[in-house]
Amino acid sequence: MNNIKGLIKKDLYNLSSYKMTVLVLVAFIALFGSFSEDSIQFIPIAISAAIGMIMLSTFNYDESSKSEHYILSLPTNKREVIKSKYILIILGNIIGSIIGVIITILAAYIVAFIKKSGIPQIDYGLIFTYALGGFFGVSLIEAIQIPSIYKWGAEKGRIQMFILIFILVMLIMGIVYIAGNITFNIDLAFLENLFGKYGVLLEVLMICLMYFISYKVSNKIYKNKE
Amino acid sequence: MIEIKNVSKSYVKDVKSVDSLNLEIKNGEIFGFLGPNGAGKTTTIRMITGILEPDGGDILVDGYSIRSNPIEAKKRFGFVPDNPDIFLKLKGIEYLNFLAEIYNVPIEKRVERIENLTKKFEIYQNLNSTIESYSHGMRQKIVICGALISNPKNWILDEPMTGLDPKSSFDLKEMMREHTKKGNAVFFSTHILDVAERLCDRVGIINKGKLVFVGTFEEMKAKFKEETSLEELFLEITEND
Repeated sequence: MNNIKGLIKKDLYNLSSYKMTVLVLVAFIALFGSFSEDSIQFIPIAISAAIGMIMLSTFNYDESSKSEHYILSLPTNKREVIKSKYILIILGNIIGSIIGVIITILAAYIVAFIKKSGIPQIDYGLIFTYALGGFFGVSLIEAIQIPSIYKWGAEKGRIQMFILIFILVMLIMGIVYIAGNITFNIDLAFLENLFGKYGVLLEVLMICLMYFISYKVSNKIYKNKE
Repeated sequence: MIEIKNVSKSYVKDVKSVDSLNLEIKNGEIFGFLGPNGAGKTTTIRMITGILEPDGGDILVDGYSIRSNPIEAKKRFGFVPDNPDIFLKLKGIEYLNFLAEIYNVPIEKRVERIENLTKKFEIYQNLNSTIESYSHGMRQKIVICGALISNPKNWILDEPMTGLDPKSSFDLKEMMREHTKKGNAVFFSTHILDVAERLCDRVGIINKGKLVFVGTFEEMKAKFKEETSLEELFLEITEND
């Protein structure tokens, strides 16, 4: 466990140079998110996405500092190296989501104060849903990207990320298009009931499953890499 | 003590970078590992340190196999790589703390060792600067401090004198001598033959992946030509192979 703690510490030291960037980014997102009551809801998504992406930059640090080989000479192993990355990234996502929720609530109060509209009616459930949605989206991208970084390296992995986002956008647009043109015989009430009752649980389970598969694939790739 | 038992490594099929290497670095000795460029020195060091997996054979560090018990084996050596340009974004103190954490060095000892080592190498004042702002020599010094922070019994140093100023080079050599006097082992590769001659108790010469000589300089001279310079001996051994 000490090894994992040490590896995480090393990444946190590397990320400490991002302190100002994170502050500016959060302030920027909060500012633009506060333009209207509708856009406020997107603050937790944007913040968790931004922090999630910053966490991925630790791979770039490792690559640019040529430390991958050196780390393997330390009393640790490839499995622990991978585990430390996943722990760091998942923790980053959780912290990003929490910051997102807090900033959203603060932004709602600030907007209400500026507009002099009294205490704002905050839909905490909706904010939580958006935060979880952001967490899910970032997790999906990371779960696909981390194994590809282990396979091709951080630089090529970055290009791959843009391709991935492009594919995801196209996929969503395609689904929206198909859904708009084809009449499905779906019991919407059943689906609404299912997601209403178990939506959060399903989403959390999906996130766990995505990271688990991603971790296993990363392990397999990195184990065979010299 | 480091035992290399019949170790081989190929990067390309049918071309052995290291071929059936057998070597023993005993406690209490400074062992110099010599060889021309591309001879297999770095590949050997990478296998000893667990960076590369040997195709065959085994390496024991104080009796622990780097293949079957890598973490215990790695706890027993400190390693200085040939290129000190690592972790450039970290501050010197962060780098040393990271290594101390990995090696599980208690806080009190950590503080004491960091102070002693960095003062000895005259980089104590630079600990709060990022490594990328260091000169090549200072980077080499911080990497050496990192390798020694866990006070390992075995030192494995790949070209450790490169970039060091004369005083630091002298200090490191003294430290190597003191370390082996306490019954520990030092294994280091170098291109500087004079340093090897003055410092090493024994040397091993590797060429084209094969160990072509192991022994003391006296033995080397006795085996080859008594009156020949060390440089000429080295060239004769490696070129006639």
